[in-house]
Amino acid sequence: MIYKNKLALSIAATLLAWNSNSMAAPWIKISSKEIAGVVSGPNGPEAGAWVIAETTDLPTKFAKVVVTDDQGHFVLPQMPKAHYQVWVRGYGLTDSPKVSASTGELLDLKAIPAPTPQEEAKYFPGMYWYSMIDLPKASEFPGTGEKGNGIPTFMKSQAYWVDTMKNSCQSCHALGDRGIREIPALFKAQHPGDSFLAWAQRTQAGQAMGNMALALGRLGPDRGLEMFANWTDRIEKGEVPFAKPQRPQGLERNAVYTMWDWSTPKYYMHDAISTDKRNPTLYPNGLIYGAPEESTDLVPTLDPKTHVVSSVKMPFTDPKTPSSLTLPKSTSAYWGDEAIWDGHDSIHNLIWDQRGLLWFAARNRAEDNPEFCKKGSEHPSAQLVPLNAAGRHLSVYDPKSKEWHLIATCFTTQHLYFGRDKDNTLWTSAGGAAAGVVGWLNTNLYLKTFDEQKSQGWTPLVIDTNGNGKRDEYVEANQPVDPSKDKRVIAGFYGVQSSPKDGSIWGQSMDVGFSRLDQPSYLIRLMPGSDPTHTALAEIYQPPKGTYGARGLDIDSKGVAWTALASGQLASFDRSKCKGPLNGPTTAEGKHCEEGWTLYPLPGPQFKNADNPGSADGAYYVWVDLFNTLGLGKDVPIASSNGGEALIALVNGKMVTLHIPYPLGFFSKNVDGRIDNAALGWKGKGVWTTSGTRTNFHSGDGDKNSSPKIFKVQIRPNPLAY
Amino acid sequence: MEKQTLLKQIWLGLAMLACFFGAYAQTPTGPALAQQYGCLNCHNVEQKMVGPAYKSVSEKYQADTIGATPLLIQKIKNGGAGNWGRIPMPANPNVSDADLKTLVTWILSLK
Repeated sequence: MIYKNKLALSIAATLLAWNSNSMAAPWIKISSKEIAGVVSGPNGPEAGAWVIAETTDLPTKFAKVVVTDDQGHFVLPQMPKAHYQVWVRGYGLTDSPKVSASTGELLDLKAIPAPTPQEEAKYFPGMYWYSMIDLPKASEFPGTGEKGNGIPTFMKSQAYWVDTMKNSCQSCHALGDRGIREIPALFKAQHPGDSFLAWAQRTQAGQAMGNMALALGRLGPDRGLEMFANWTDRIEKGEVPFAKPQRPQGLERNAVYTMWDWSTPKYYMHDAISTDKRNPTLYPNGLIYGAPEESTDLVPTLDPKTHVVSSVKMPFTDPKTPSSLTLPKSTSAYWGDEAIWDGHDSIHNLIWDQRGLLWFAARNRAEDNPEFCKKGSEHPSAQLVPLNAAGRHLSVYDPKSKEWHLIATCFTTQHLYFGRDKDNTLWTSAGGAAAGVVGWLNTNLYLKTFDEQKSQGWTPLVIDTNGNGKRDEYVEANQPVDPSKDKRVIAGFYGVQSSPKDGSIWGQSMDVGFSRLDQPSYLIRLMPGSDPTHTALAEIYQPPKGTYGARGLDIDSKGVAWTALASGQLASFDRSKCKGPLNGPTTAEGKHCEEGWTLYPLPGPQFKNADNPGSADGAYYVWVDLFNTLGLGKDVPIASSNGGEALIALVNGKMVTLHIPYPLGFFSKNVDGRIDNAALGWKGKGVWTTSGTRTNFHSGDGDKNSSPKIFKVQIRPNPLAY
Repeated sequence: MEKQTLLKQIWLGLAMLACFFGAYAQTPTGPALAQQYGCLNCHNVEQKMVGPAYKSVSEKYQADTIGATPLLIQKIKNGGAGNWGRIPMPANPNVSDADLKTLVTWILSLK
């Protein structure tokens, strides 16, 4: 109550400080396609503040966000004709009152200073809040178990713990957003005054309780819950982040963020796609498609020209295909006992090919594999490595004919990208490191024959440890190196990408926090050879000492691999810098080319008691802008920063943080760039991404009626270009 | 005629065998049910995760496995708290009585 009064007084005082008719002389001529204006505060123009315009006049809710320049000026460009609510948001401020505006208007907006540190911090990205978490100290590791310090013995270092927080918990939702840092009233009421039990209850809520239990079990549930409860108790008592974010600077002010609601508030998205990564001029102005993972079988679409959203239902043919409806769950603070996810298809990712077909990593049957995948089969890959189960497979959709084909892969799929070969091979990742194989589909052969058996293959990851340059008989991963043989590594691709440079296929294997295997993350280079099942050779590369937790992968046009590290860096790996041999017995563990790595610390604070430098930030994936679709340059890597609630681009060695401030809790898992019309410059292109959180209702701006959003990000030549 | 009767008997026998093995193959085991119902998200046979290790549960109730069976069935079905630390176990109302029994029998069989 006191807080509310304080806020009201502050707003009133600020508004009184200006004449409401103090519109500056027109400094810019705009058309009926823009809204422009100036933002000023008590001390004059507000530079680096966000101006948000939102409308419900269009077929779906639409909003656009820009940043003010040094003089507090702003231009919202390319605005569909509508009535908007416009307001100012910024670090150091509280949201200004919303004003009504139509396209073609010039506005004089007032910035309202935040009346309290708590009000100011409401708008900070999540990592500023979750870096307040008191991690167990480095000296508490390795854990001494249930009867010791409560940290499991398999938690060998603080890095294991942080990797688990970032790559298990933060895989699905933004750790520091309001819905996490505040405990819902329902759980508080169930356990009055006992935040430990309230946390125990909230981590059992909804259909993701199984995933949360797995992560908690790894942390040591009592120690983990104590840590989270201590964090939110301090916040409830008024503690605020120890660090403050900086307002957008330089190139960051040139950004335009456009967003549309799609799908429904009950569902969530994993990814979105607009074009073929190999040729981003394909499908200009066409529909954007989304991947709703476990939540639904309805693939959402957006027509960015008409603002119409719709959906396409992905079929599944096997009646034994599992449904999210059967997932264990407890009462949700938002949805009660309703099971809101009803998906069967587990649609994780999707990608366009050059033929106008859309390919999905999605489930289309029960986990048990068909006989041709198993021991005794004549399939060449099954003869080498029989596979008994696959949790996710492939589907392909033709938007013109509306036809689906479901492909029963023997290997499980997670991400998928095309090779740059004559067969248009679709290379897949498996997700978990325990997969032990890499699978692919020869899409040319499949579309010619629809023979799913002949069109697919897989290979174990085999390192050329005998150094003879070819694949030979190999020892298994748990056997010592044999000088006469090669050696297998049990890893699986999480990220996957073909190199534009040399035909190699790159993967990235997850660290302990996600894989739950006691082995580090790797970048993996796979040279398929003429018969990949029998000829593919792998090279593995561990992140350099002191770093850990590679996640996401892309390859730039020079063949340099990019990944994000849970230790808080964006990292590149340039194999051409390696000085020592790249095969032979010394390469079995992947420790042989530290000189190939370059680290770029992610912005933002580190956990106070972390034992390594870096940042508390972590990124879900990395995408390289091969064709300058964003406007920050060719080959610019872009990290989906989940702690910074931003896309972070590395431009000429410097981080450009494209923080999307609305709705609060922006959480992206990857991006995709398209050039709609190269002749239009920045107006004819942009990168696309979607809300990747499973919990849109956790946003500080929303409630259970918040839909996922699809975002387009563009960079102008200056903050006022239109 | 005799030959036909014999063939009939053979077919009948084969059908019964098929039914038997079919039914046997379809009867889920304790580990399969633990996987199916998501029990293994919180429990592990050997070590404590969010919930106690199944072997620890078995050990606790070895003195009276017959008496423990209905108790553990109720614990799984309705949830509970307090016996193994402060973290409550959620209710599992969707598990059928037959599956509950299979699960508990399996847990108590672990040594």
